[in-house]
Amino acid sequence: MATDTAVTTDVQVEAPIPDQQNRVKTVWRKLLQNRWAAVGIVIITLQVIMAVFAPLLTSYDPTAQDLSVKERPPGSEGHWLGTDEFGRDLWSRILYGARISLIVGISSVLLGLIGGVLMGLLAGYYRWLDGPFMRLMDLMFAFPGILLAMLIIAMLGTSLVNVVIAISVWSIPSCARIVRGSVLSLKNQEFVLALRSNGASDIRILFKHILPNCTAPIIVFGTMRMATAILSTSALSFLGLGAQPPTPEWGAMIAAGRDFMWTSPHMTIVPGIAIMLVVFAFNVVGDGLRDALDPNMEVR
Amino acid sequence: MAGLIVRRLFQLIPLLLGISFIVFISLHLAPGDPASMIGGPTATREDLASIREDLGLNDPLFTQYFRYISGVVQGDLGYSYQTKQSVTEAIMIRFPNTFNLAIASIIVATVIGVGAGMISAIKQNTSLDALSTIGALAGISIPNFWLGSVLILLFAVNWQWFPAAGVTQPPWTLQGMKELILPAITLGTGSAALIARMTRSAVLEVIRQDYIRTARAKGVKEKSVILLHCMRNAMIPVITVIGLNFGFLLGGTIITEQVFAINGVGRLMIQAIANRDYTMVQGAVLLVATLFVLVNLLVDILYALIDPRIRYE
Repeated sequence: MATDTAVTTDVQVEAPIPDQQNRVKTVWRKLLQNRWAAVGIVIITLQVIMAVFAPLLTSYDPTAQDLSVKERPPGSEGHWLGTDEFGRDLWSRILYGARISLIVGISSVLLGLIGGVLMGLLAGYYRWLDGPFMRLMDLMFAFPGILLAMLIIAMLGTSLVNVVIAISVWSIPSCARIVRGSVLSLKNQEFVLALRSNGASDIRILFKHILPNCTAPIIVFGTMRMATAILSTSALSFLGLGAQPPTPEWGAMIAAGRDFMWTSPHMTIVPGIAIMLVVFAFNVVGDGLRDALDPNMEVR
Repeated sequence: MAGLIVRRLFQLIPLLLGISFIVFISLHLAPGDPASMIGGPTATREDLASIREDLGLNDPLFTQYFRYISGVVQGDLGYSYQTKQSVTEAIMIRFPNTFNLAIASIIVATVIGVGAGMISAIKQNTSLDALSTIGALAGISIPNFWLGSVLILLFAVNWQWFPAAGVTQPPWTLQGMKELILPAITLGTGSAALIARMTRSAVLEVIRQDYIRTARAKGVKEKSVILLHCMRNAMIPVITVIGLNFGFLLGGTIITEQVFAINGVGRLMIQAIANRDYTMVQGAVLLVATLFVLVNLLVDILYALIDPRIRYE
């Protein structure tokens, strides 16, 4: 990656970022050649379409109750996925649930990445910060993720916003370790030494030159983390610690459907399949990205 | 070896102190006044002041922490603000259920994971390998709270093979085992998938080594090559994954206990969070995190026992 350092006489030192457009194209092509990753991309695209165009894909309000059609099975007239115990259309709840899972997933992963990347960059670059930051990360690693999330929710209270905060805090240590590792291997490379000798500021070196060279592992981590974030959000909502009724969140829908499992199993099964497909998609795309971004890997 | 164990044990002390401090401080920062929770809505200002004085809440934070930690090392985790019950007692009553569930799940995960991973590697690029790979991908993606609900629907409600909820008998009785099977599958599936993936890649790496080829060339039966020569070496990274997963399963019991209404530490914690019973949350989190760290330490030691190279690093 970081090999073809360009040092010119007019003190312009550039980090060795390969031709970005070509790189993106190559990665994309490799990703599509991986059949599991291709399936994952289709599922994620469908989720995005469902989330963005939810109001156009259903005429029902996901929270509007109609007790005259409660607990209708899938295939019922006007409700192809059936209805729940309050007569709410399950298809519209799944659509709006896709929106929630995507928003919560993206925001928690982004927040986690921002925190993790910052800590990783600083810990990797400044030796004096490495010890304290990494010991703090070790301490956070001492908690199983879901436990750490629950501790934060116990402190902040139950809500989707607090779930986002909890999951992003949970993501920070892993991300920080990955970025720190990359920074440690990059900071003594010639292009960084050249930049430093030319008087470039630390901020410029870190954010303009080192960070772009760490993007591959960050992208893979972020994609895989989306799966964890969506799964954890639904798990916490299932436990009653995340989304609260009547929010159409998939985990909360499973929790509500459990009381009617004997009579209307579709209320539990449908949102479960939705979660499984989306988590599966992010996992396989993450796997595919890791292979596509690794020059040593052959495409399966 | 003894040196490694002593070194690791010493490293554990600051980590455990750190965990206890994080748990203490995070719930100390939580909104709500413990004195009002204990005193209730009828408590007067004087009552609240007296409760605060009794609990030592007026003391500096570090004094409170050292009082808390000295209680913890003596096995005293305080009293519940809500039920006035001893936190240690409440946890100890429920802990065996959580521990049994975690043990049962790791057994399920290991049997399924190692078995599927081995078959997948030995039958590489066959339909069995593809099936195992798809199974592993699905296993990682299935939400365990949903899997538990589906298993209850199929095996407890439809076919009535296993009870739908609760653990009432010890795990060594037939009824106890039946009660644990569905929760153990629910909790163990994700770990089984990870173990299967790790076993597959470890076996594939070892199976290509020269000494395996030599064993085959000498005419050793394929079964012996796989079980005696290959598995022994392939198991080193697999054991690490199994050990680390045991720690994660301890955390995962929280959800499974809720699904199967098992009276364990996880369920106690969820109820405590809902009731804002901070001392109970504190005790439960501290216990699970400490166990998690101890299990990781045991994995480290076990790893060094299996692979002598680790001891000399």
